[in-house]
Amino acid sequence: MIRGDKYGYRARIGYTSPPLTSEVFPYEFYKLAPDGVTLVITTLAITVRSAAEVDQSYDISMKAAEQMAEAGCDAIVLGGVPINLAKGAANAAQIIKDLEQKLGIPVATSASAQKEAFARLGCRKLVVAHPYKDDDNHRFDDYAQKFGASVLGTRAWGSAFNRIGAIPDDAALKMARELMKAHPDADTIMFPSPHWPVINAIEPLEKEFGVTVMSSIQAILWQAFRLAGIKDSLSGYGRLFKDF
Amino acid sequence: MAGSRDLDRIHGHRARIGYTVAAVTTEVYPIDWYRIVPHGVSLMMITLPLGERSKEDLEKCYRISIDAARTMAKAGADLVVLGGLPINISKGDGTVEDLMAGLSREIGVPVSSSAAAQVAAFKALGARKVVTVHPFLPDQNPRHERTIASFFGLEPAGVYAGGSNLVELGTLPPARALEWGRAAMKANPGADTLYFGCPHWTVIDAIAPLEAEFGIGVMTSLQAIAWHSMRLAGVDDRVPGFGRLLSEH
Repeated sequence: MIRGDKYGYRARIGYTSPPLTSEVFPYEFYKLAPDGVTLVITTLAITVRSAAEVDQSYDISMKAAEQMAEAGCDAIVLGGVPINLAKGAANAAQIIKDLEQKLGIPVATSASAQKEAFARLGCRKLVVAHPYKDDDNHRFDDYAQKFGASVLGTRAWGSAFNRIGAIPDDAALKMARELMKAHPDADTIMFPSPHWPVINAIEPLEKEFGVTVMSSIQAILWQAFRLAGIKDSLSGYGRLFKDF
Repeated sequence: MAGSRDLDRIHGHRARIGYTVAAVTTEVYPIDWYRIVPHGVSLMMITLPLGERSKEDLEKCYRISIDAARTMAKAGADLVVLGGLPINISKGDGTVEDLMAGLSREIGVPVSSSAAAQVAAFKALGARKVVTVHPFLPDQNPRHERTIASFFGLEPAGVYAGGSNLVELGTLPPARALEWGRAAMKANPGADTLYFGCPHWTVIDAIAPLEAEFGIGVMTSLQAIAWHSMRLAGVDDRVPGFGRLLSEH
């Protein structure tokens, strides 16, 4: 029997995806999203995260949001914390308000989604496993402070930005286990960046260490689904989707 | 869902296919891609700022496609496919092969295009007389008819316009392709192949029912691109449920 309704019959989520090419995000979106919830994606311009690329991506994001609203999306998330915060946190908050007023649909940013997820989950003492090189560690200290938490330890997988689609599925699991061994007082494992494979690590780590796992992709999708009226309690991808 | 045996592998452990999407936003393409391809074949994509297909639009998208191919090669793609037939042939019908060969030499990765994929798919299906269904307004009919004749070298048997537009493509229900395909075949019963143009609307569920109902070959842009990409990347799995092209060739 062929379906008589559109694919996104429950909700269509617009997302501006920072890397010039997108591979992992759509793949993990459809592992996690309930049937009837679809992704409407625009790729931005980031290859090395230069200031020029961030500015260009900011501009593309604004135009894409308008097109997504015109196409009938139910909620929009502007991706990329560095892009979101390129003109300051106050500006990021104002953009959400302005776009919501202009487009008539709920809007969030990757930064606002993660801030909200941190608050709901009560994250305070973090260990951070990220896909990039060690020289990116300091960025996540800054983010954690903005989100009201502190970082006890960090592990970097060591990938260049344009190679994070080639990170194996168990990288997040391995780094998080090393971190939890070194910092058993942590209450949260954080996986920044929604463009490397993490979602299969969330549930095993929460069970193994009795901690909370908060990943960017989980926070972005959780916020997007809730803004679009999808309140399903989803099992298998951590406390955030199950309990909030 | 990855099993435990896959944990030390990357998502695209069998093949990572780069694809330039000829649309500002994409919704249907990744859904249908992952319904067709076997586990371990991933899609690495970029969206292009294609608007109303003006000459300026096409030239800009052509340039970005070339840059994107370079980026995808650096990111580890096994194959790059340039999407958007109007973009592929924007420099002339005879330029696509030169473009792909030159780019492939430069980036060190095989390069193909949605145009080449569809040429190969029509050939595999033995298509001769083709009726086309597209989701856009009837003003696009002459362009489709010209492309079938001059680019693919096949006999146009008719064109059916769904009457939608780029903005609404993601909201078309799967049943629409079946209705439009039936209407096109009813109006043009002499066709041996039914062709659904544009890979950004929901078509793949209509392929097998229409092949069975009319005893014809059904070829869609997305089906052809997925099939061609898999075969060029060495993924020879026969995939059931989405037409003869994927199950027999």
